Amino acid sequence: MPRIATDNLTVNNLGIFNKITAPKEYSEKFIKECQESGDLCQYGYFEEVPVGVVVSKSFVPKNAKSPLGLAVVVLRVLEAYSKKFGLEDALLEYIEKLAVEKKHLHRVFLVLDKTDEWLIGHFKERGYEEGDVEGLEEGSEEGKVVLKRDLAN
Amino acid sequence: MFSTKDDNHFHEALRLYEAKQYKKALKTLDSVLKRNPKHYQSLSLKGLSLFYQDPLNPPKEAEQYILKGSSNGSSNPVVCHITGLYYRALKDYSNAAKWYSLAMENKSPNKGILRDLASCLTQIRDYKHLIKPRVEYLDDQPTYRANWTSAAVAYYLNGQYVNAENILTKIEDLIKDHLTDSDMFEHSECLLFKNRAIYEDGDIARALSNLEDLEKSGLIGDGAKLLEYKAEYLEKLDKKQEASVVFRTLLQRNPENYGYYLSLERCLGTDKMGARVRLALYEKLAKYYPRSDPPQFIPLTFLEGEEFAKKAEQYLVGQLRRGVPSTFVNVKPLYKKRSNWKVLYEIVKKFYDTEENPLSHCWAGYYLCQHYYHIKEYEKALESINEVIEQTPTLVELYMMKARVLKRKGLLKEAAEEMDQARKLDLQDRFVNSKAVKYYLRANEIRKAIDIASLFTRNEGNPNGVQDLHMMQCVWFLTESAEAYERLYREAIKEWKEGQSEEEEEDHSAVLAREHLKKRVAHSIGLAIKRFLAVVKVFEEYEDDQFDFHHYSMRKGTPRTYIEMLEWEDRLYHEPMFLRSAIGLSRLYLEVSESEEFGSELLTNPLHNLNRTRKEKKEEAKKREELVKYSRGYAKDEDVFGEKILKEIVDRNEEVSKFLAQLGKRVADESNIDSEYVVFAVNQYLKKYVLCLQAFNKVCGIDKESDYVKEMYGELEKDMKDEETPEAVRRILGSKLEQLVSEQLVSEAN
Repeated sequence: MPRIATDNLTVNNLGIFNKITAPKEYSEKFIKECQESGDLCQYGYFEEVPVGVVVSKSFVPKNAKSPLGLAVVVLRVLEAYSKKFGLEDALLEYIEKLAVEKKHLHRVFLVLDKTDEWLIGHFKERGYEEGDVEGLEEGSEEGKVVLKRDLAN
Repeated sequence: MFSTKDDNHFHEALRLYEAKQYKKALKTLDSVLKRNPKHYQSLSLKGLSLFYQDPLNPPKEAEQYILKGSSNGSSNPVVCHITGLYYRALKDYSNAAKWYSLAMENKSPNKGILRDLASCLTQIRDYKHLIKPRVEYLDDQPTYRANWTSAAVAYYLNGQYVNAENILTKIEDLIKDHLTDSDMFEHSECLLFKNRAIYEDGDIARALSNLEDLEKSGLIGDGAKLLEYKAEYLEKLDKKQEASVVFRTLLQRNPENYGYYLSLERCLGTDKMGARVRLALYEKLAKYYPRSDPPQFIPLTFLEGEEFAKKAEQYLVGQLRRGVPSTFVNVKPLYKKRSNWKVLYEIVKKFYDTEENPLSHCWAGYYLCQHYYHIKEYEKALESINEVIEQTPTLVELYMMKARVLKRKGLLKEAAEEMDQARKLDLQDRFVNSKAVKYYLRANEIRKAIDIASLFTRNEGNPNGVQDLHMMQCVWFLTESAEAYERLYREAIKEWKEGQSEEEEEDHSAVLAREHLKKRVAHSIGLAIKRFLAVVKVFEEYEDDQFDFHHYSMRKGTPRTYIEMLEWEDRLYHEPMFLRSAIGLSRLYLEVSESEEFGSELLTNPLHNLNRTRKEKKEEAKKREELVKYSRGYAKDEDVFGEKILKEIVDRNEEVSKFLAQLGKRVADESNIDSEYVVFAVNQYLKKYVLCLQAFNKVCGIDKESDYVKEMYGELEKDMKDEETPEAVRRILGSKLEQLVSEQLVSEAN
């Protein structure tokens, strides 16, 4: 099996970001903010070649003081490397672990494209459920679907 | 002869000089010279003190005082010594050696001069005179091993190996009971050096037995070299069997060394046997060293047919699966044989079509691109690389390869953009950064190149890294910049010549544009010359850097490496990178000196009163400031664009001629076509036509199809028709050129 790993975004490898998410392009500002958020974002590596990316943020609903959980707003793996090698799982596992162990949050939300049926199905197998989540900006966009999982159980 | 009072004052001044209190020293010296203007030591010391007061920009008087002192006081050892010190500071080692020698001949009690003298003599490669000072200094200071080593090295350099050996044996005997742990490295090196002296003297059997004694003694630290020497001697003594055993031991030490395998075969005699025997040998070696590359690879160089295909497949697929980026480079030597192309291609293509691991698939595509690139099928190369880039767009190597293909296709701008893409994927990779810089330079986008290079340079207080790249002796950058400026110059001068025929009466903006174009021509060629000169300067620094080692290496006890360094330095100006600059320089100098435009128009101030508006002037100033920012190579350079140099070339300044004559001498090498071209161009400039003809003959002898031949023939023809060329020379040239045509050496050129 190939070696799968994740690692931080650094100021020196931000050029990779849009190569992975293509054709969708993110602004330089967005990518820079991802990198500055530190451990909330990761690249996924296949044998030391970056082929996937995950971006999450702390989700604080309106009028709430403390965050409810981590929300994954970008999760992409290059087509040739997706589905088969567990990169999606590695990226998500990283976020789940981050939420529980470091951020002490027990909910993870996923904002996915409705068209990405494979990913939706795959994560549902992992215990994620569809549901309305109020106040999650990215989730209310056209064509998006939100999944969530309670990790306390 | 002189009163003691003057001498006392002189010694006081000397003390001040040594304490670097030059001002005070000068004051004291002036008081001596006022009383006694013929106190030559004081004259000399005054010159030296004046020099050291501002060594980067010494006043003219410094030299005058030195000359005054030395011309009359040449029998005074102190004067000689000071004069020697002065020339040494100027890096004029041959004059320094001359005066140091005189100081010793005049019985200077200062034996330290001998050491400096030896360094100067080595620096100018005057080995003949080197032995004397080294031995004399040894006689004076026999308690330091360094002095014994120095004397031995001096003998060695003169081919007097027996003397070298004797000296080394003597010191070994003297110190053998006093060696401490910290001496052991030096001891080991000196023992091996002595062994080399014995070998060089020709008695290989004795060298071998000496080496075997050393091996037993356990005193040698450099085990690999010890064994390599041993194997070399055994092989030369025709003891092949024993040599092969040593090579096997060497393989145990380093099974990646390609040369050891070939040497082993030579000793076993298998290199002349059939493929089957050889393959058996390598299969056995591969079992011993399963992780090493050579036993896998070497069989591919002699196998043929199906066996080759089978082994090649193992080799290639193994590497592609492991994702070895250099797979193609590893097998590139096999491409020398044309019949291998198809076999290798088919192996990789099959792998590419069937492999499921996307990354291995990608490396296979990368290989295919390199394959097509190598066999010059650039369209297919592009197709292959695009396919894998689409699949794995995050791999830096792929973009770099694509850029290479584009460059080969002549799409220089696109190539640079592609290389920049690669760079952006990994900003901390200096290799791809410098590649992007190089590609932008190839595309003549110098500013962009500088901006990118500056991301990695130390820019303290400077607008960009140009100065740092000069200081860090970044030869490739300097060379590529120079060539980029040269190309820009060729564009500009072409534009200039095309515009010359236009109507006289022009409107203001046309005149102004012409004026700007003129500046562009001068700046680009000036900068090209400046950058080439910067390369020359770097190599001169390399040459100068060795000076301290004539002393230091002896103290460190590394005579073998020292001699290797001397040999490297001797070939310094034949390095291809230096030749590239020498060619560029001599060609440009010749062109400027022969061009009418440079003499009459290009370097002059505007002829017309341009009546520039204030806005135009402001714009010009701003532009110039920008240009300086991107062009200044040295911190205090007054001649940023090389305008002064251009004028000197046009005026046939003596310094320019001296420089070119030296350049020609430095690169001269009968077996190298580029060197001889430089010699030719330099002598064209110097109008030494017979030397030109000689160089021309040599170039024809090396390769008569070379483009140089045409160019040189044209130049010589011009000289022959030029009425300023002396009649006798014209006749010689005429008959020689006729002969060449009749020999059809230059049929095309005519």
